Amino acid sequence: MEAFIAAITSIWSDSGFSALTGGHVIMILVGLVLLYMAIGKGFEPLLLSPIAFGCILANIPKNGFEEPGVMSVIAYGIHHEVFPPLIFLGVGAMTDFGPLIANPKTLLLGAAAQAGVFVAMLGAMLLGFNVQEACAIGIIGGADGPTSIYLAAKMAPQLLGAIAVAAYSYMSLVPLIQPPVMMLCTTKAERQIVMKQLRPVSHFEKVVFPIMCTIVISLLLPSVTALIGMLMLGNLFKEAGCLDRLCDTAQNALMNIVTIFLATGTGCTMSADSFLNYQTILIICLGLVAFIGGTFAGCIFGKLMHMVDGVTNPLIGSAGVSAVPMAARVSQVVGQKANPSNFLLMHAMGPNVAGVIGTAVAAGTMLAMVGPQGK
Amino acid sequence: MGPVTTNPWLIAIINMTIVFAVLIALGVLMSLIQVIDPTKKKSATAAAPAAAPKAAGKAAAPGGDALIAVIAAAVAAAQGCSAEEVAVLSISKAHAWSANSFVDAVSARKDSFF
Repeated sequence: MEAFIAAITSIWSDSGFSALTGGHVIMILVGLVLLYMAIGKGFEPLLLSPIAFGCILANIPKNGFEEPGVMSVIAYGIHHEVFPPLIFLGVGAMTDFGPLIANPKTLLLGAAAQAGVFVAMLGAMLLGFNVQEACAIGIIGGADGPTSIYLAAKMAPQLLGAIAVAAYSYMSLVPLIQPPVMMLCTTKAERQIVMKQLRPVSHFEKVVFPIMCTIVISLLLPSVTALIGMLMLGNLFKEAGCLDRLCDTAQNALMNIVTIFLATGTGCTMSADSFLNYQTILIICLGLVAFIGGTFAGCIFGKLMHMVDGVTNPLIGSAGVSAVPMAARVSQVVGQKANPSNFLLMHAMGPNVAGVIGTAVAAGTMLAMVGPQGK
Repeated sequence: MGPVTTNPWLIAIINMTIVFAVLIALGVLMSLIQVIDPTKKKSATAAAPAAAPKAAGKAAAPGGDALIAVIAAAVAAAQGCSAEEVAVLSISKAHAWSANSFVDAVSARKDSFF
């Protein structure tokens, strides 16, 4: 009998139950809520499901994730910026820069929407975050998950979980966050503007664009060479016309594999001790401010552009906050509500992909000016 | 090296300036690529002949079809067969004056033989 009790005691003391705290329980519940949102409500299920599951795994006490194994490899990929550039490779292979090349002035809308990044950064510094943390929080406004993780891993690794969750959560909520701001910034007459069809873009232009972008941006901001380089390499796979197999792998198999690792790893950073604090609440709030700020700035710049050229629908400005292609779809939906014969999707893809480049440039500039943590 | 500055306003202004400058520079380069695109002329010339026969075809089609039908009917009547049995009507590539002289020569031969 004594041996039986000793065995039971040993099993109990080795089990996770003996070390389970209130914080763990709360975070497991958070993971379950996120899972419900992903699977039950359909909010970004491909990303939110593994994040939520990772969150549950991270809050199982004595999970041994610190020891060598698959979880430590995934954590390495997150903390050493392996996965974000690989995700960008797939994003590049899936992105058509044609609308941007056909209408280069939409680059300005992508730049203007980065204002949200700096609004959130200013807010973060006012709330007491240090300059590196503020920059990492601000980049949530770029609505670009991989760049947010990339910058957070370099500048504020202790906030990585909260920043990644805020970025991906708000990206999934773009269809809810953006339309009220867009309606507020534009008149019905502006929303009804029909934009003329874009010019056809030649194969030469599509092939030269990623090469040119890589060289120009990487020379200017070497710290984001991995991000921009992989994005443009993926796009070159797509546009070259003779690299279909590589393109197919980058945009399907590799993308799916890396998404599983990145999202699960991000969820694993949501342990109770690093996530359940006042800072996380502030980061979630600042992320919302950043998204609203970016959308607002994009629409206002769209209005300015409309005043100058008379043909731009200001709604496409909101797509400047990356979130490809959701933000462009939101422009299309809001535009079509105002005028059912309005098709803004391709026009909005211009600022949308410009936003991806703009966010990477903003991240590189912050790294160059402020530097990684500890330097 | 530590941060260049910790003033958030300065960071924001400098960053926005750089983001705009880089994207404007990209826009200029994109316009430049469009201008120097060596495939533009080729595609334009390739598109022109492709468009030309289409246009010519559109303009000539009704008249051409009717003309062929008339000629086929005439040949069939002359040969004593149906128009469906006339298989080929080819256009001479010779100049108009040589075609006329050819017709004259045939007529002259006909006159001399018959």
